Amino acid sequence: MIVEVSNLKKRYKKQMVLKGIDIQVETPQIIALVGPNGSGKTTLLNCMTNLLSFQEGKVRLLGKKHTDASIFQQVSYLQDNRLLYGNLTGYDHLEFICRVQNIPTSKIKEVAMRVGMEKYLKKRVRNYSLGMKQHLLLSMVIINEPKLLLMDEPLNGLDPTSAINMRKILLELYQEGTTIIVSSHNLDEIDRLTNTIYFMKNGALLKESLQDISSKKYLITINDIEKAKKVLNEKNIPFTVTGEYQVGFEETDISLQSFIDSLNDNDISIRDIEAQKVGAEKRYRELFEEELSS
Amino acid sequence: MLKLVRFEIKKIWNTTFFRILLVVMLLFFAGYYVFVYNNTTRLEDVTKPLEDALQPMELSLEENKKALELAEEDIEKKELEETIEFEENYIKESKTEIELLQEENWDAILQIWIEEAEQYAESMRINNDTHTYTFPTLFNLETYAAISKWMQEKDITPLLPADRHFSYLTFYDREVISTSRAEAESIMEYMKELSNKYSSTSIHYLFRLLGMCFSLIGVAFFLFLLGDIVTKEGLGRNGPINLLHTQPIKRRNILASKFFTAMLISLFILVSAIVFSIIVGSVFDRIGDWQYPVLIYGEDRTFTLMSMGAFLIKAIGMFMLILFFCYTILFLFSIITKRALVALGLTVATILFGTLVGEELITFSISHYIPFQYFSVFEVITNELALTLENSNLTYMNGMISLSIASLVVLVVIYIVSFIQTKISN
Repeated sequence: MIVEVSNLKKRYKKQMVLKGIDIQVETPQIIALVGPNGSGKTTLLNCMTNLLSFQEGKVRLLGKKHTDASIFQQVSYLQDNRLLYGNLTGYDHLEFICRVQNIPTSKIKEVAMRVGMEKYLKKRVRNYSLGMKQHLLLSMVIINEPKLLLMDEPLNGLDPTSAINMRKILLELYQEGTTIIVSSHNLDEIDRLTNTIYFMKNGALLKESLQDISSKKYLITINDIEKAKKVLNEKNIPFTVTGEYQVGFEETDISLQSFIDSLNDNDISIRDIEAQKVGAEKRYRELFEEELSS
Repeated sequence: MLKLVRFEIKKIWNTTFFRILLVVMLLFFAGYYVFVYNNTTRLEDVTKPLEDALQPMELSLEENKKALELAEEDIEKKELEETIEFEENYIKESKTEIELLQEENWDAILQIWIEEAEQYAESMRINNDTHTYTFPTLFNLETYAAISKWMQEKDITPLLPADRHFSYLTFYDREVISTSRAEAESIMEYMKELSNKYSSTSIHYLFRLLGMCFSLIGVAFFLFLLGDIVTKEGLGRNGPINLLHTQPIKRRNILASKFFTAMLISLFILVSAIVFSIIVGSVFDRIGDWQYPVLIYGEDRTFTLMSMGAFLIKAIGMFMLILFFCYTILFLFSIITKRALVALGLTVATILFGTLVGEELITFSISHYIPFQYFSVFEVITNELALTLENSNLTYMNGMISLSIASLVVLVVIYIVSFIQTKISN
C-alpha cells in the first residue's frame, strides 16, 4: 500500500478540521486535492507527514508509520517557501538533502537543469522571486526520486512556462512510478495533470472522482509536426493533428510513455502534455455550489 | 549527525548577525590589546626612573663628602660618614640593579628578590608575625619568594614593574600601616595599581582577556549570540524547521545537532581568541612564558603554583562546561516556550536567580553543589572564591562535578519534556 489513511480526525481546540479522512492508494497515480481555503488540504498533508499531530486515526506511507522519519528517504513533501533559508543558496539546500539522504551531489546539477534553475543555483534564496523559490522547492522534492510525492500548492507563483514545465516533470515522475498527491487551487492545471481528484469540504473528503468519467486523451504540443506525423505513421501509432504544433493521443494498447518515447527518440521535443477530461471546475461548481453562491 | 552539524554551522555562518558580531568581537579583542599594550611597563620605563633617582643621590653624596672635609665636630663627622656610607651603598646597589636590568639578567635579579623576601619572611616568623592582614604578610613574602624561584628555575621573564614585593599583593594583604587612614588607603591603592601588571605578550594578554570574559558577561554574550538557535526556524510553527522535519532525520538528532553546533561555535570563538592572542602577541611583542606562575590559594594560608598555560586550559574547560550547562537550560526553555526571546529571558533569569540563591545559601553544606556558584572561573581555580566566601568546598573539582551533574539533570528533563510533547502530539 502506498498511502493508507484511516479515519483521520484532527481538532483545533473545539473545531474539527479533519473529519475522519480515508485514503487508500495501492498503485502509482496522481491525485489532486481540491477544495476552498480552510477545507483542510494543507492540514491533511501536514498530518500525513507528521508535521501536525492528530487525535484519531492512522497514517501509513509506503507501509511504514508516518512518525518513522526514515519514510522521507522515499517520501517527499513540497511545502510553502517559508521553509527555505534566505541566507543559503539553492545549492546549499540541495546539497544538504543530498548529504542527509546519501545522494551523490553530482545529481544537484542534473536536477537543477531539469527544473530550469541552474542559472541561479548559487544565488542566495533571499534574492529569489516567488517562482524561483517554487523551482527550488520542486528540485528539493524530486532529487531523491521519491516513490510518494506530496505537494501543497506547487503552482503558486509560477509563470505559465514554469507551470508547463512543472506539469511535464510531474507527469514524467508519474510515468516513472511516483505517486503524487497535489493540492491546488488551479483547476485548469489540475485538469491538465490528472483525472483523479479528491474534493475536500469542511474537513471531509468527498470521494467524488473524475476517474471513471474521464478519458485518457492527451493533447501534446511538439516542435516539429511534420516529422512527428512521419514517425508516428511509420510506427503505426494512432494520433490526430489538433493544431499547428499539436497532436492528440488516446491511451489504449500504447501507453503515453511509449508515445512520448517514440517522439523523443526521433529528436522531437515535447513542449506540453495536456490531459483531456471532464473539467474539474465543472465538478467543483456542482459540489461547492453553496460557497460559490454565497 | 555530523551532516546536520555542518548544515547548522553553515546556516549560522551565513547570517549577517553572526558575522557582524564576529567583527565586533575582533574589534573588541584588538581594542583591548591596544589598551594592554599601552599599559605594559617596558624595561626602559623601569630603568629610567632609577637612573633619574641616582642623580640627586650622587649630588647629595658629593655635597656630603665636601661637608665632611669641612666638618669639625666629631658628632657631625660621624653622622656625615654614616650618610655617605648609606648613599654610596644605595648608589652602588642601584647601579648594579640598573645594570642587571639593562642586561636583562633576570636570574641575578630574581636571586636578589628571593633573598630579600626570604630574609624578611624569616624575621616575621621570629617575631611570630604570621597571621596578620597587614602588608607585607608572611604569605605575601613566602609566595613572592616561591614565585621568584619558579621563574628563576624555568628561566621566565618577570612582569614589570619589578619593584620587588612592593608591586605584589595577595588576597591576605588588605591594609598597610601608616600615620593616617587616608594615607594608608592611598598607599594601598597605589600598590594595587602596581600589582595589577599588564603585559602585551600573547600568554598574558590571553590570560587577561579570558579572565574578563569567563564570567557572567561572557556567558551572557554566548547566550545572546546563540539564543535563538533552537527557536529561530519556527519551532512549533511553519518555518525552515519543517525542512528538517521532512527529512530522514530523527527529531532528537535535530536538537542534538543544534546543541553540538552551539558548543562548536563557542569553542571556535575561544580558539579564535587564542589564535588572535598568539598572532598579535608575536607581532607586537612575543608569545611569552606559558609556564608563568599563577598563585593557587590553599587552606590555612598554604599555596601552590600553577603554570599559566595549564591554568588557561583548566579555565577553558570549566567555561565550556558552564556554557554546556547554560545551553541545556536555554534548550529546555526553548522547547517548552518555543519562543526565542522568552527562552533567552528565562535562561538569564534562571542564572541570575541561581547565583543569588547560591550566595544566600553559602553557609549551607549543600552550597558547593549549586552550579551557579562557579561562574567566576578564574576565582574558582585560584581558590579566591573559596577564601572570599569562606567555603573551602568551592573547588575546581567540585565545580566541574556540580556543573556536569546539573547539565545531565537538565538533559534528562529535556528528554522527558520532549518525550511528553511527542506523546501528546501523537
